[in-house]
Amino acid sequence: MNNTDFIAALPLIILAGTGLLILLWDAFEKTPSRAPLILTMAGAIAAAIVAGINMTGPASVAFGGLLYDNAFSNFFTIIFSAATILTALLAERYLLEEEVLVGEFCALILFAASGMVMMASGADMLVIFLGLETMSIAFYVLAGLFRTKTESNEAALKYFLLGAFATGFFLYGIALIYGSLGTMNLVAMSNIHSVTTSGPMLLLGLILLIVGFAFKVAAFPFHQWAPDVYEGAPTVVSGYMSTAGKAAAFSAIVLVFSSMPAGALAGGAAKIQIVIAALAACSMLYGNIVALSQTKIKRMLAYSSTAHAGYLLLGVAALNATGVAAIEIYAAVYLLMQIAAFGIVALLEKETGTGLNLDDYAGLAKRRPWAAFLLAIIMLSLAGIPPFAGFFGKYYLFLAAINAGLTWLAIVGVVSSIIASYFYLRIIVLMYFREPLHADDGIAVKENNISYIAIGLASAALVVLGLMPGLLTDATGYFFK
Amino acid sequence: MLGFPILSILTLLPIAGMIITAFVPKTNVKMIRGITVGVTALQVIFAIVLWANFNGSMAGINDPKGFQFVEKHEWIRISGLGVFGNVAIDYFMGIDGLSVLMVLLTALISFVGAIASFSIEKQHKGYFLMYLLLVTGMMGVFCALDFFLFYVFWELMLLPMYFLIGIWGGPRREYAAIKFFIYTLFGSVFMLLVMIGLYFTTQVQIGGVSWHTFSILDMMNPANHVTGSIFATIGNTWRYVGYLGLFLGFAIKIPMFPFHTWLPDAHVEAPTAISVILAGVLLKMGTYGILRICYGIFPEIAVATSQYMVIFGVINIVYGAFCAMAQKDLKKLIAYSSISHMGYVMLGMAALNSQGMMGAIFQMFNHGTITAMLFLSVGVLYDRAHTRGLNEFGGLANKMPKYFALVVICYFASLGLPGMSGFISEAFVFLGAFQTFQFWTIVSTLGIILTAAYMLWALQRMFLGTLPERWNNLTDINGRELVALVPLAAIVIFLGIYPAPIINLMSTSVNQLVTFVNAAGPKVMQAASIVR
Amino acid sequence: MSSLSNYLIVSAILFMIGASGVMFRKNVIVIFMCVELMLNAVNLTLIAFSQFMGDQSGQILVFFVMTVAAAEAAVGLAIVISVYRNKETVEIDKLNLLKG
Repeated sequence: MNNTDFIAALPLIILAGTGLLILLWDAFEKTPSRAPLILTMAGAIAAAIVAGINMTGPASVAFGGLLYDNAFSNFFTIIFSAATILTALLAERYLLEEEVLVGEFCALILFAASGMVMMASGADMLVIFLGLETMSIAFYVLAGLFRTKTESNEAALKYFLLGAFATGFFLYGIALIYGSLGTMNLVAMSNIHSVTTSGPMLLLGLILLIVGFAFKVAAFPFHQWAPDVYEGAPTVVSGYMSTAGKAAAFSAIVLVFSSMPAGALAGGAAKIQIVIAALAACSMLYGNIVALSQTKIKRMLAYSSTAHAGYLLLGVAALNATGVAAIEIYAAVYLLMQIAAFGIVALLEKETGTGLNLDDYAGLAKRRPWAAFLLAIIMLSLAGIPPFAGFFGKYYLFLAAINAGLTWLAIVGVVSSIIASYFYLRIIVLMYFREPLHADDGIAVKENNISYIAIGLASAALVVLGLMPGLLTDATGYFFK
Repeated sequence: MLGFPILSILTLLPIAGMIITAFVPKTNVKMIRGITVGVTALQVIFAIVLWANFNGSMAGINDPKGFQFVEKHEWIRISGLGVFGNVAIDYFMGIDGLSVLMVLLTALISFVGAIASFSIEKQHKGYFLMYLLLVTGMMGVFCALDFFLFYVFWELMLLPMYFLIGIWGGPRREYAAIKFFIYTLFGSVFMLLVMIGLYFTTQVQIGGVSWHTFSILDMMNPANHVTGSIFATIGNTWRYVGYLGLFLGFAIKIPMFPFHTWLPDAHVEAPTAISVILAGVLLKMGTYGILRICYGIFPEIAVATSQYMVIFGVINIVYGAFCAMAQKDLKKLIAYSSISHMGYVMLGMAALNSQGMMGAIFQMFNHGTITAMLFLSVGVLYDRAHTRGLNEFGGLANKMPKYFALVVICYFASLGLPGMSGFISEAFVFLGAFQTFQFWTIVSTLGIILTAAYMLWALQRMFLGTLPERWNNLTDINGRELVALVPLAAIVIFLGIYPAPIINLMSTSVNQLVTFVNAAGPKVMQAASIVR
Repeated sequence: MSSLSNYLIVSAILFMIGASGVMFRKNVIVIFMCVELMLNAVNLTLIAFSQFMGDQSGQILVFFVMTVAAAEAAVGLAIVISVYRNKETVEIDKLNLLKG
């Protein structure tokens, strides 16, 4: 390990190292305190800064072709760190109030983040697999964080079983790709000029890989676990899983697909594109249509997250540089929107698990003007209404799809986002146009400034990025240089 | 040319107003109202300055040099995205004869609407913040020359409208607000798709580098089209798709039959001031968009499809009038009369000649002022009686003489009485349309008869006959309401007698547009014959 | 020495047995064992490829898969235990609190 290798892996080392440090600290300190959260944020900020510095430097492959250090990987490292910071801020009230072991929580989100970073920067399918598992195992535990709550247990179990199942498919996909191309290294793969092995096995491998990823990102028809898990898992964790986890999976998909040697698929590329496009179309329509009929906010967000996975798949289906840039942009924007949305839900839910029905949001604007205002911004952004960042994200994805000749897919996307706007707006209707349902406050009474700061920061970022999307687009698009 | 960016000032002044309002405590209602009225009054002053400095001999339309008060700043620049190409999105504002009237109208109606907003009874701060945002959106739509900027303003105006109807509206406000929102969003997402297609089609050279651009003016010039791209080359079937996608978005806003059903609901539920804005300005965005964007970018399709557009225009006129006749709610009656009157605009646009087009734009302005008056007059009555049922009134003429006089002016203006501005614009429309579509023009004159019938009938039911007992304590129109209504009445009468100031503003641009569109028309015929 | 395709067929069959077990069995522990079966089927594929192509990386991955599977088992069984403590059952049908 030489110096450049070390620098390339530094964000990863910082994230994982902070996690270990917190575990160590936790072993000696028994009273719950904020210290682990502060440490987590410090670690994530440090990782983001290092990644930011690396991003401006030249692109390279570290550890003899195992780890990318380029704009793409560092971009994702930054957004994963941002997600970690936001989650830590949001978790403060949640953890201290629900009396969960803060140290474990912090260590686990850091381990998950380091897994994500491995996925986004893996130059070898081995590294991507390790990253995926590091992230997933941390998530299994996080989903079951409330050991005494049956819902939390059940969510963890479901997530674990289906996640392990998906891992099987993912791994089988890797094996078949390895068998047909003779290497697991993405750099080596993209340098192959003539492909000797038969195409069908490679195609099958890629499809199995897609199935595995589709499970992880909860794309239709592999989404059934998502509503149950997001509902049962601690709200803050749901926010983290459904955003950073998905973004990581997409970064890995992009890495694998863009490394396929030219001509390896021959006629198969079109088939893969159709498969992904169909997944994207079904996810967008199904997620949004089912979300219409939900009465619980976490389930609604879960189904809408399936739809958002569909939007991101639209970028994958485009299989071009535009698509990659669009995925980067939308992943970042989606992460801000969804974490903030779950953050508000976490802020308003009661310890007893009430305050999670849509009806509980009736008249929120009168009781909690700030929460309602922020949630309104987030919902409008999720619905893709300009000038919020969600619009630009979707806009780039549609641009990519049309550029790749998938106009029909862009039209499906547009139609599904009209459907989606209905249920996002319904929340605004409830908050602003209705009177509160219960005479007593159906929603937790405690105010928490730290959560508000986190959500406010995310919302402000949505507005700023919406008005100046150049900030985001400048950071992307170096991938194919 | 002026030494300061007047269009930005007009557009962003309300945002400044919002920032100031944000720091006023919400109990200080007077101050909040005062800021909004002050801001909109300032806008009127700037609009007058703009009008005084506007050069009527510059055409604009497709000629970048013909635009006035142009402001162009780089907004979003993305380069180095490989296939993605280089993207140039500009903050590009400018007006010509098409938009100058709309800018004046927006300033005027916003001011009137601000005064009419005094009758709002709850959550004043939120209301005026939203109102100011709405004004920014409207003004921006008429000033933007970059399609992206246009789209952003177009959607920006959607949000405050949604809240204004949804929070401060009548009993069925939720339904009306969401219906309005979904309809408009439905139209605008297709606009978005076409916009992306146009973006891939249009490429210009800036400093030796190729940039994809969103400038509407660049999109109009076939020389900028990339060979083989989706909307390139005249005679390409995709251009029909593109035209229809854009047209759908604008037609919903007009609203054109069969997309009109949101309008009566929105009007009935919206507070008075918002009805005024909705009818006075928002509907014009649809027709303005068709003229500026559909006609400008797809001129040959506009020529090829004008024969269908005229049919929809006539349906709007006649259908709207029949529906208006059947209404018992005064506000609904006026809403349907709006649909009918916007039909004249479409008729005039479809004629594709100078008279028709000029009539259409003038009708847009006149409909803005007249319908604003109509809604204000309904508001005056509703604030006192808390009902709008036509059959519940009678004999109000004696009880409220000043009000009666104003109502007579606006009803007569609406039915197109000679000497009022509505007459001139409708006459122009008929003159123009008769040259192209004789049959349909004759059918559409039926609308005039129907309009006269329902307007006079409404007048008779409300103001003549005996006054029911319970209205004995109604008071006549007050000073604030007069401030809103009288200037509009004066404009309506003045332009009815002497329309030249308005006609002069737009004639050069209209002629240019007509020439530009008609020049492209035969090309599609040629291309079609080659295909055959 | 049998050909590569024999190994691949055996592992494919094992993988399918595992996958169908996950889908059709009700007991959580059995499902988990089926998942392990899937992973081992993949391991077989990897080793076969590695052997026939004369490339080591496949075998290296197998070691990692085994390690990861162990970690997964540790976490998974812990989750199963905590479910059992609360519900006193590990039948997947009886875990139905979370519904729309």
